Amino acid sequence: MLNCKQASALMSRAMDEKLPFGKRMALKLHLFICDGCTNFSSQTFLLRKAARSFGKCRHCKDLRLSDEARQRIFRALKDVQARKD
Amino acid sequence: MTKKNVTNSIAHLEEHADYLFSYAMLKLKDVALAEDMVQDTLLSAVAAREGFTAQASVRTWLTTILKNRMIDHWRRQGREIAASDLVGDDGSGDSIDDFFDQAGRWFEMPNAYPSPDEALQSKEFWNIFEQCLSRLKSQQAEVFLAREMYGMSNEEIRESFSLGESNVWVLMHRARVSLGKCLDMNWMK
Repeated sequence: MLNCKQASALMSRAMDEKLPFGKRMALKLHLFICDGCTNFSSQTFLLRKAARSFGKCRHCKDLRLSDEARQRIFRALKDVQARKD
Repeated sequence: MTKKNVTNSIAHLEEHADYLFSYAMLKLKDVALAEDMVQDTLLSAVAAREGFTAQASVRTWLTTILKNRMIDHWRRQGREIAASDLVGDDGSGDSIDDFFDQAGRWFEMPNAYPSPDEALQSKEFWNIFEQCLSRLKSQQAEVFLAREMYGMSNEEIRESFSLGESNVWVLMHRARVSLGKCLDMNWMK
């Protein structure tokens, strides 16, 4: 039987890639009887959803470069490169 | 390197710029400063041509330059503690065993979050989420951002951070458990 440490590790891995059959079944069985890990599963989905909508979040400081900054930075890069060549 | 290759390389750096920026923002929380750091980082990358051509781990390499820039910045401000958080990465003081007892049971059971959409509408949630992200150990934050914000696959992460398969699993597991715990403590009690 998996313990919660092992089960949560497999659950995290299963978010990112397909688990081998045996591990998938063992995880299912553990989740069937374990509320803590079932809750952890809902946390990982919330975290994923949050991370993916972070860029669109109106309340957040923007975590992506603004277009102005991007253009400024790449102009500077090209200038430096041009001077070197 | 021919001129064309160089131009391609600059274009190639562009895909890393957002990642570097979000990483810097989480730690610095200052748009202008983070933009400067990204620019500095990319400029020194262009200056060091040899490193530039080793494409396999460009992101790791760029992140290292960025981290050094941030460490210098904090040292100039006399903030050794912030700097040391980036230096002594992930070795100690943050283990998955902080969350489980010896039998592998949760010390504290995670909370359930039945309606994520409701959470995502709440300003308070986003403040906490941002804080929780910025508290992650830096390697965990790097991998978590790469996976969940930039949608890189585990395989791409292994390649661009030069990590082994199980390193990625371990880092993601720790990031998720830490973030979950941080939400539990700060958001819905």
